[in-house]
Amino acid sequence: MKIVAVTACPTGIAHTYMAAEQLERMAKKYGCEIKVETQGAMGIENEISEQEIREAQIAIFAADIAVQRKERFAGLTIIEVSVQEAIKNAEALFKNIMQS
Amino acid sequence: MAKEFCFPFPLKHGLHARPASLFQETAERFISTITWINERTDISADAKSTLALVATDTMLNDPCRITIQGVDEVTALTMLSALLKGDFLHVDDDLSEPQAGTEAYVPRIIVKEANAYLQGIPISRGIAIAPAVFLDEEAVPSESSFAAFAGEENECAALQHEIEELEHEWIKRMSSASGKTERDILKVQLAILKDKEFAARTTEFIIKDKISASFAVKHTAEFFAEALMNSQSSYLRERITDIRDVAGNLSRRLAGITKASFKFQRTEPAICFAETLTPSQLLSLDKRYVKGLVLGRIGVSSHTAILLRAYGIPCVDGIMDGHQGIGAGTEILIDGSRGLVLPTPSLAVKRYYQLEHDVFERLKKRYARFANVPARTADGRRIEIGANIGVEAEAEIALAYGAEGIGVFRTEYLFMDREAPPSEEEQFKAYCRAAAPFSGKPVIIRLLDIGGDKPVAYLNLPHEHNPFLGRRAVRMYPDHEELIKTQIRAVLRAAVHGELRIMIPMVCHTKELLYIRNLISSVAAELKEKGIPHRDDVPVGIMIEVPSVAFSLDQMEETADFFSIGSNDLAQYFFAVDRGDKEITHLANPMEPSFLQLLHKITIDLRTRQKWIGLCGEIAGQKKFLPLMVGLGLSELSMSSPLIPEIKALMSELDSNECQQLLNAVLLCDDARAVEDMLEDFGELRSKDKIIGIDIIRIDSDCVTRDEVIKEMIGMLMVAGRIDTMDAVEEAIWQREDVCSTGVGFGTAIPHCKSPAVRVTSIVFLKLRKPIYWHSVDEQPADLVFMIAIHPGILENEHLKLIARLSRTLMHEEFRDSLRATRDLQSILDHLSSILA
Repeated sequence: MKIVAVTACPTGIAHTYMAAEQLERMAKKYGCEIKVETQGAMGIENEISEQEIREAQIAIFAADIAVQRKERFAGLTIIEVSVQEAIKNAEALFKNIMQS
Repeated sequence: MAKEFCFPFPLKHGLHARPASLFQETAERFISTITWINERTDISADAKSTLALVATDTMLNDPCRITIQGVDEVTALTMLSALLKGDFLHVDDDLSEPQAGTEAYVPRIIVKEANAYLQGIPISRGIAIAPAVFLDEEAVPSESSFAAFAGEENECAALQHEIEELEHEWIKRMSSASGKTERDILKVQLAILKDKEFAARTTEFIIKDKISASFAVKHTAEFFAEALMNSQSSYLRERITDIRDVAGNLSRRLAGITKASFKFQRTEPAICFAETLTPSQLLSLDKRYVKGLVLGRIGVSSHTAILLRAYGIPCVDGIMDGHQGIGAGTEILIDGSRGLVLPTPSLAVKRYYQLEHDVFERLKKRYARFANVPARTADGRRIEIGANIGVEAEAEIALAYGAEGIGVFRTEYLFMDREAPPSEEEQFKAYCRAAAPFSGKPVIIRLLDIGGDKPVAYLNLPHEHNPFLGRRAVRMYPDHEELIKTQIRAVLRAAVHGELRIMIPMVCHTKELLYIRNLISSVAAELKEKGIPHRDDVPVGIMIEVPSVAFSLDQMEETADFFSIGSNDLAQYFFAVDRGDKEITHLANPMEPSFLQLLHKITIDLRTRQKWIGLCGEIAGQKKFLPLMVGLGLSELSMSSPLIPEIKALMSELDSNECQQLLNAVLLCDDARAVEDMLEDFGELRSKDKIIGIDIIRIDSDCVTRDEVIKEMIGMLMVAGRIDTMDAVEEAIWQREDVCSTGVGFGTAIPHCKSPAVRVTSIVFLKLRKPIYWHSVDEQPADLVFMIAIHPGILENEHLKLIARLSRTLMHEEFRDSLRATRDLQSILDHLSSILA
């Protein structure tokens, strides 16, 4: 399975990257391919390309603020969670994805 | 036929003393009986008594009625209604919120704990806890000390006499009062003193109760205080202090006690409350027991304030109604840095201040190693650090802070707040004492700098429209030659006991310097003739305060032995900006390239002539200016003592060549803003690789709440010299916590902030002995805390990358486990460094 994800928190200093790390770790554990774009204090990093979106089945938004350029992901199954949730329950999130 | 008119009361602060006395002054001019009736409170008053008017408890929009009856009632009606529609409406215009603009940070914990507090003006920093003692109550004569009743007639005559005496004294004081506030207070108090109700009520007490006038006055004060106590307006309630003050003054006079002669006795630790405190009263207090002072109106730059700072006694000023709600013996916490006074502090508040106190103790220790070594830059360039003092007692304290001499002894403080100038002997002792701690090191005595903003009553200085440009300092010496000769004589004699130097303020022509040289010669000759030990070779220097001096250094240099730049006045005269006018002081920013050019010219000119050149204005002690001060190549920097340790520490990290290049670069800037940006970048680049350090790691913390952990970690940043002020960082950290908790689960928390108060972007690490509740997402307590403090600037992105990397690593269980298992600071530092490398 291919997943694209965006993480974004209000200050964009720490939580954004923690959530990104958790998603990447869990994806690896569950054998998924993932690309996580961080929208933090340094701006957009690890930007998701159009092709990656085309190839993906699911988009995860782990954000406490509005995700920038959300329209790119139209057509994908979107899962929205808070940043905290992604940090705390990344494993449960992936279990759900794998079951459905 | 009586006249009357009705109106809703128009003033926000109610009918307090100021509008009441304005109304009374006008009413007084008429023969008619004029009555003010407040229809809400149903209290009516004789409009010719300010006190009676105030006692009507009239608030904004209260329905009021004025009735006028008498021969001139028509004119009175016209005048009074015109007054109410005119001047009366503007009487409160400058009654702004108290101390606006000086508002300090109130620590969160005080608000969170709902701890009551009073906010005043910070005078002398420090923290102390002790029971409250009210000095003024002790100073008011007790019942037993009131004079015995000497018969109706005698008492009434005495009352009349003392009211008149006091009135004369206050009128005299009003004409010499320096500030508008002081004049206004005097005006209000005068109105109370002259109020016919006040005298009438007192006389009534004397006759009815057969008591002495001094006792009756006290009764009168209580009578009016009671009336005002019930007022809905806090402003009116505060006037009780004025009435008590007037009564206290009068009562003491009648009982033959002068307040100045009253000595306060203390035998137990106390936080003392008083309306005012003279230097002699302060000196009479046993400083072992006075842990702090809460005062009403002494002023930031008063003699008493200077003494308090010198003694390191915490003090808050501007607490006019200190009595209200606080009983004697109440436990009081005083926070002299923020100007806060807290009655009965809670445990959490006390703990907060305990942590803060520890930070200051640790800072002291950190700076201690600089105290006894001469100040040098990293590359070994020597710059003397002197202290600015106002009283001789400060010299020892200056030495303890690491001063290498006295850069300027502002001797005018010896001459202020007193009835007559100090004698030669008194000055001699003062100069000897100032020199005593500094054997072989320069102690610069600045001759009397009076005039301008520092009036002295007994000199009868002329009233000037523009005192700063008038007969100030050296310009008034010829009119007071004996005064200056006495001062010079004292200095020459004291010079036998120390390395004294004489500095002349406000010089702008060489002839002024020669004039002083001549005075010195004649004084020396007199001393020699009388066989009094003295030195006739005391070096004589000048203050550079007048910009023209920068262009006559060629001539000055031949007659002056040394120079010291008084940067505060130099900037004021250079930019033609009154430094007391807050609205325009921004126009005189010493960071302006034009001003730096001036300083550069002065120092270059004097350095090429091998002259000793110091600087003793505020910028000498400002951290951000230090690289420029070093770049200028000054011989000396002189500042207030508490600033010395940190300046010495910072100087030891600077390279003089880099500073000189920086100076050359900023001289080309367009404006002050550009200079500040350049200084900012300079500082930042020097701290590039310092995001972590062994001094900001702790592994055995006993903190038990989130508040304590945050306070503790900010304290670590402060002691490590990584932030400028703790308050701004604390506020920024809490603002972030308010959005949502930074407890990220897995037993970790990452409080963070970005603030200009952060000097060096830092990651602090704290490991707690016992995990604590952090409102974490997983509801689990935290034991690993990383505080991230970010400095906004050119390296910000680079630092953010490192922090992102740390944040990611924190998600790995093995990383957390290894942090928990490691018991050694160096290993933790190495581990963190490897992640951030």
